[in-house]
Amino acid sequence: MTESLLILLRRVLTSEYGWLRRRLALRFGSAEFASEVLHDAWIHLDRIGEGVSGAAVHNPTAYLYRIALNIAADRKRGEQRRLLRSEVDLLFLQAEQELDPAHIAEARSELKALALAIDELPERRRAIFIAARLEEMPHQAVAERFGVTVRIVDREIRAAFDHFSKVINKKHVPRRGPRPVKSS
Amino acid sequence: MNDLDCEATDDSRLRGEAQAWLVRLTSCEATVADLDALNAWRARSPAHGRAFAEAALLWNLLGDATQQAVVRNPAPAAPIRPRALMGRRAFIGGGLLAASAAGAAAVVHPPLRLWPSWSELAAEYRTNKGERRQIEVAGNMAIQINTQTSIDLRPAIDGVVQIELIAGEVAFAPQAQTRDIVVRAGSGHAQARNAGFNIRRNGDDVSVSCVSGEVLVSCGAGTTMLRNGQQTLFNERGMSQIAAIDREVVTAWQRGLLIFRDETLSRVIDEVNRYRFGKIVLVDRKLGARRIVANFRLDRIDDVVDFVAEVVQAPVRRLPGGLVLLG
Repeated sequence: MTESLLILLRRVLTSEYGWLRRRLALRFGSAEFASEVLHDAWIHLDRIGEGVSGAAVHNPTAYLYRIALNIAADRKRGEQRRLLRSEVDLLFLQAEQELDPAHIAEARSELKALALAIDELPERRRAIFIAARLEEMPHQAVAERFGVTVRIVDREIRAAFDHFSKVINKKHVPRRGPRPVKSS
Repeated sequence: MNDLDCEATDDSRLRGEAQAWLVRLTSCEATVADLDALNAWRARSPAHGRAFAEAALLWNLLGDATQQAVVRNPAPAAPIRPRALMGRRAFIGGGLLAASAAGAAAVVHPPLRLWPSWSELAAEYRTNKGERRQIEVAGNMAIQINTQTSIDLRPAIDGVVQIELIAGEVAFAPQAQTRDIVVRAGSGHAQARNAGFNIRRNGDDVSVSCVSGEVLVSCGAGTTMLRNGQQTLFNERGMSQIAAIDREVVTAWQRGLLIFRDETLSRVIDEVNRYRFGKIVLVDRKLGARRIVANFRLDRIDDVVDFVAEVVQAPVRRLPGGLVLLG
């Protein structure tokens, strides 16, 4: 893209920003999404249109709108992508790190209680939970193996999780009242 | 209702919502859009963020806890349950129990890592992580079953062996006495006679690779005939073009190896995690794009960790339960 075309498109993007944003928001049903798309367009404007000269762009606004549509389509495709297990694992690890280390260590000390709690589950729930958590089977596969629907699998896992959550929280009743005096 | 009670109700509501997010994210159906929505939910308030962090902490802990529970009290290994035809079996009486007992004995002390021969008794077989097994079917057909695999053997129809691949990966070798096989997986199936082929399923995505003979692959979108060295993928949205495969790479697991020829590190880690106890997590995601050329022995799969750490010059943190943080 020539320098002059780039400058032209940037100028038009700025002056027509409101109009472009409204069109995109209407088209995709989200003003936020429209803003993100136009933001991407602004940043990547210099990479778009190799070999396009100013003379070839009769209607800069319409041109920009088409660019925005392509960016939007790419974004939408990206959003449909399934998350990898490794991405989800990382998310959970990072989330856990937001907590206070002492609290994490305290929770870790409850491992044994949790292991016992797993055995306390009703048989099918236990089997479903183990398949999902230990074998990391997709819920669809778990559903097929046990001959139930995915909804039931999700429900069973939530029920198991709820049970474990109660087990963990029982051990962490917050103190109400004065702390015992420390003796040295 | 006093303040503490209000707080408690809010807490439990947020906890429930966080747990629902957790179940969604671990279902293997979550998308990038879901991740965006989750992050928006977390950002609503510190209490939201904390609720999710607590749920994540519990989920992480449950990984180790489940290992412990299973070691003490093993979940039943395959065959899980004799299937359908229960009515007919009931007439045979003791036959069903005897077959199950034999099955149970084989589970505990599998000779030569073979499962008991398949009989008319339809059954489901599954392998745990890192396990590989072989079943003899219909007298002379061997099916090799890879890690974390679940298959269903159904009674033959008109002499055609019926198999359903629920999850994981299986391989068939050509046999002296030919038999038609149909393997159903996801939204399609593969049919072959005296062919060598590999079929792998991950959720709804299925890949079929032919290493000898011919395999007919069908799904809603159409039918493709695969020949030696060809592969096709399909899912509910359709079937891919035929691609050439590296036979050695596709069948390496049957020889106890994992072969990577110019694969990204992300892909290598995902593959290794199918076999290796615990989980390797790539913390520095930029490293995921690095390309790897290597062979690994499946019985020494843990060697991968040190090898990769050295190749990409990344720190390694080993945590309990086989969890490894790389980078």
